[in-house]
Amino acid sequence: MKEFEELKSIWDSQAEKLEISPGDILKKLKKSRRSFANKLLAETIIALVLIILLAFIWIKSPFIMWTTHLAMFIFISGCFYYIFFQYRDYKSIQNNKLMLKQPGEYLEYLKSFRMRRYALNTRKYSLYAFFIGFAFALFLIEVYFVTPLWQTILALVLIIGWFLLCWLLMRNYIRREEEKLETMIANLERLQKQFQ
Amino acid sequence: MVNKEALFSDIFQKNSRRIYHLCYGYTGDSDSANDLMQETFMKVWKNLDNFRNQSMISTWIYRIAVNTCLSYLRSESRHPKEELTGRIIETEPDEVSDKKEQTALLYSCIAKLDEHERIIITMVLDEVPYAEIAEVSGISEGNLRVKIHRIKQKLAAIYNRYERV
Repeated sequence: MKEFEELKSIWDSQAEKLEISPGDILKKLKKSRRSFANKLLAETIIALVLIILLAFIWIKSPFIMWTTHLAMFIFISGCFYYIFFQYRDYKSIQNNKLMLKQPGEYLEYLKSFRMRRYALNTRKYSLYAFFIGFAFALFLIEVYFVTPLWQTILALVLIIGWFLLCWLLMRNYIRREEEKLETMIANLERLQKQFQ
Repeated sequence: MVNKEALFSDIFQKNSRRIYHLCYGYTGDSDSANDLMQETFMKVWKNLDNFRNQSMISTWIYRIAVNTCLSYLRSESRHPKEELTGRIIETEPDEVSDKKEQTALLYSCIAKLDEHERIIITMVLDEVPYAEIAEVSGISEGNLRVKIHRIKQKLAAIYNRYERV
């Protein structure tokens, strides 16, 4: 039978396997370009480029119907909507002060962050997809009047096909995300109770 | 920049051993402990300019390490820990010294505690003052003393149970 003091002496006699030096950490920091925060920033930049491209097409193309102008407005607004949420999360991750919070508060932040990401990847994505679909429908009205019928039908089929594919992929993705989120939230809540 | 690197190197030398213990106690395996320690010190580097001496640097680093460990739990279920059996000890009976076996068993027993208990007990074993543990864990000092007493008993009981296996 060992008492705690004997465990303490075992602890004190341990030899560590420290495999890292400060130099390794600094090297890794310099090389680190693939973090989640950088991914969010890259996605935000891509969306910004897309906005500029859409704005350029809108200004330069001689659209004649108000429905097309509305479609372009919705496309660009959709991009801004996406950027807003990505940028908010990017700022949240980059907020260094969060790491210095007490464990209870930090766990609360982790919980709310995961729930926000889930909402963005599921419910908000559905809303986003609905508006983009609506914008495509408006865009097709002008396509119908200025191009041959077969081109309109082809565009329609391609757009519907694209949305069906996204819907199928998202359905499985949302189911998996839901399961992961439930486990994660249960774990975080269990941990929060320990620090109360 | 050179000064910052020198300061960082000094901080690392003074604190890495304890942070490694904390991470090892939390995860129960050496590789994950090294990963978490690395992640902790990367965050320390990124936050170093924000350190304003309101608390001791060790408390400040411990807080970052604890939160890094808590984030690790999110993916823990994908990496189930090795079950605590005699197998840990029996795999290389001739090569591993008694002390190493005892240390490995002790870490495995710590990994059997609740997460907050792991964090607290590794700091107790490293002789971190109670006031500092209270500040890092966000638990009042009064509560902490009671908790520490219970955790010590619990850990000794787990160790004795598995030592006999």
